[in-house]
Amino acid sequence: MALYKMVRGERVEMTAEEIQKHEADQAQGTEPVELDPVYRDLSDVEFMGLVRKAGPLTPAQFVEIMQTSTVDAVVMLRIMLSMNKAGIARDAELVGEGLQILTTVEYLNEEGVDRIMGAWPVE
Amino acid sequence: MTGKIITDSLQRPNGDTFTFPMVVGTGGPLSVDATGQMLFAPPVVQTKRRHSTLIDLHNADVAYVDVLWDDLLTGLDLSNLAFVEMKAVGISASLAVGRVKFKGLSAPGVTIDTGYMGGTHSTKYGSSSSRADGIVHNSNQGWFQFVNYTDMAQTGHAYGNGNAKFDAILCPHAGDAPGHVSCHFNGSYHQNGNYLAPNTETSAWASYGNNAGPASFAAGIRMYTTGSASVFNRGTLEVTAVLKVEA
Repeated sequence: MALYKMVRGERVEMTAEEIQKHEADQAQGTEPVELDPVYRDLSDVEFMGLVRKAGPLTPAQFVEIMQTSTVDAVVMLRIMLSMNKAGIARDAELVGEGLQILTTVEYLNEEGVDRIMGAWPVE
Repeated sequence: MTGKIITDSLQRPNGDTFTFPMVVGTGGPLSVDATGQMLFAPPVVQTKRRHSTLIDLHNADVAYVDVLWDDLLTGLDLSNLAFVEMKAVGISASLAVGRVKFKGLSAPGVTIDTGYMGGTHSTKYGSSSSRADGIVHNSNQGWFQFVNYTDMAQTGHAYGNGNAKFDAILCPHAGDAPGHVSCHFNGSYHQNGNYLAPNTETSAWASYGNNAGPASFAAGIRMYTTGSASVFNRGTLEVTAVLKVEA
């Protein structure tokens, strides 16, 4: 079947070569873009819940961190959490420093930190 | 009978005297050449900032439309082309697999087939109050398109023609002022489905990350259909060149 093009306002029959090129152009499609995830800011409760589940922490470890531990670094982490009034961003200093403290006192290991960061909720 | 009156001036009673020029000159609407022949001066050419062409696609049955910058103004090339406006009304094609796609022309009839462009669209669709947003890229194939969410209806669809209307601004320049090859659309269309009202779409195609984009559209632009054997058979397209310097 003949196909036509419009060039300079005139309708002109396409050559076989032009039809072949046009059909190849028509077959080209879009590719979806993979977007970087947008991480959600967490409340204190959500953050500690994430650490407890993804770490994971035992109930006893959780209670020690949040109430009974007298290790200075852990007490400091409790104070930092209690002072925090804003949402906790994934790249916040409190997160990096806090998880480092819990690793140092061996409530977490590096794999546990990776699990926590990997499970951080997105928008 | 022919004849001539020899005089160097004319005067109405009690009026001003009009004196004929006695030397060759071209200083006004009338002039005299070397043989003494009175001539009209050439018309004054009005320069304009904008030059356009209108393309009627009703019953045209064409697979694509090539618009050359030279069609808009003889001799126009990129050096004096600031940007291009495209306005379309009622465009649809013979088959439902319908997007309106574009490629640059490096020379008459020669498309620019490489170059990354990324496209972002925001769509409200006529089947409900829902919206759909998306980001895509063109796989380094040089093209961009309107519409992006889904296919337009074909001409003669039971719920209305595809009826693409858009108002687009195209930058045909690659990598220099005023920017990368890019195009922004504001428009509407009828989706290929049993929907009463049209979809609306705002979309933009421009550079995709740091990837090399298409080359400058040196000669013009091609608008083509998607869907094998689909042809434009409805609508009107106006393409306007906006010049840097009036011509």
